Amino acid sequence: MAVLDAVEYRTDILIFVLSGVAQPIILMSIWLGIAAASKSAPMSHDGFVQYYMAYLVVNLWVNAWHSIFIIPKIRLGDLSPYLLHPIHYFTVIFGENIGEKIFKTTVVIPIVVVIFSIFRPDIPNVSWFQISIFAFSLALSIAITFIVGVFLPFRYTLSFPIEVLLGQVSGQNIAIGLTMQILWLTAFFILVNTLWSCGLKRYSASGA
Amino acid sequence: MEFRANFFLHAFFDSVWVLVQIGVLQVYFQYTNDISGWTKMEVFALVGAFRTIKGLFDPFLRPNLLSIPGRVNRGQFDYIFAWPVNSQFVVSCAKHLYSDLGSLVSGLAITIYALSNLNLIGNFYTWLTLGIGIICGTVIFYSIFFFFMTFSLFTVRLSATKSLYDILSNLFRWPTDILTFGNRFTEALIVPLAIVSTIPSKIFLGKIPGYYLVLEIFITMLIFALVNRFWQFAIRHYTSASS
Repeated sequence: MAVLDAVEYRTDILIFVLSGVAQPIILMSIWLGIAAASKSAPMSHDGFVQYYMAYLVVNLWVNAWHSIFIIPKIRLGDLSPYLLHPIHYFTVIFGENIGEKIFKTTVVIPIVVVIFSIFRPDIPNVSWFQISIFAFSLALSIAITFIVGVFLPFRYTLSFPIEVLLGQVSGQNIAIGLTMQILWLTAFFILVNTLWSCGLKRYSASGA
Repeated sequence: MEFRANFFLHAFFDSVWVLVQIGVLQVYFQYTNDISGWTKMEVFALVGAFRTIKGLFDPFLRPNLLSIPGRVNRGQFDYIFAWPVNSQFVVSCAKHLYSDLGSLVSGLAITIYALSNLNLIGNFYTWLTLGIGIICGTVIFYSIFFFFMTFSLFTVRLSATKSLYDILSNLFRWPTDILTFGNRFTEALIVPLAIVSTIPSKIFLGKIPGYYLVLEIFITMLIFALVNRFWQFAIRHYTSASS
């Protein structure tokens, strides 16, 4: 459904993707300016390019934008039909969310390729171990942001998977990071489920 | 003042946002005194000037422009085109949203702070060029945004208007010199965007000679005229359920 909607209204999706991409590219160019002017910059030129290339893709996947659509659905009573469906409402919006992300990725990848061909950074040596940890950590991040949105718990939603991919964390710290992610996820999962079932008991709409 | 809680919340978040932005600038300039030829106070002056432009655009023009695609989609323009006034004026200036006036205050405050640090506060030339630059910047910002909104007369559905606004205001908040990476290709792409805030700021900061101001005014009028022509062309293509 979401993929169909995205293909149907291409201009909209293109603008949505560009707005997500504009800010990181601006930040990257500022940091590149700093890296060129200062020896004490936190990362090297290549380091910043690698970081923001990974950021563009990871940020797209750990972003969740459904909450602004749920609120009017509750207010206007459009939620009622979904409650009659045999699957949980969360599953429906999770599917929509993933569908849109798949489509947006096809737009973001060419942008990453363009950035790569302009700056030609070194490609860091990424082991299969790093990639598998990255994939696992990214999946946890997607689940966390889906449940709570983008604000909490800062580092474990966006920065941590990128750090793993670029090899900036190692050994014990990977284990600590993953444990933190799982803990956050479990805590929020319980909290949101409780809130949702309490909320549904209070929910009323005409005809419901 | 109908929704007071909304008004004060808006003002509160606006000031938090300003503080965050200033904090981020402090972080950047911790590492160097000069990013692509801009010192910290010069960037502050530009940020302040663009906030002032936003402070004029957001309350008086933005709510109208954002509603254009939705009104096209629902065919609500029929009456407006029948009125004996300039349709572009009516669709751009009818509604005002005073809760967005906060940017004007914070923008001016940041500009004054930066100018006093640069010892330009008592300089008549600075204030004159700042005033003209802000007017030109507002007109161009409006024209660019209006141009995109006019597209909705052809595409019929355009719901990503707020994201489009975010892209533009993110781009204009920084000196374009920082965004070019010293690369020819990106330079050609970015330089046209400099006319909103970077060139006016360079003029009032004295980084480029004063005759650029004449060029700025000329380009502003040209862009405004072109966008008006485009609007006139677009409304001839407007169709709704009843027309």
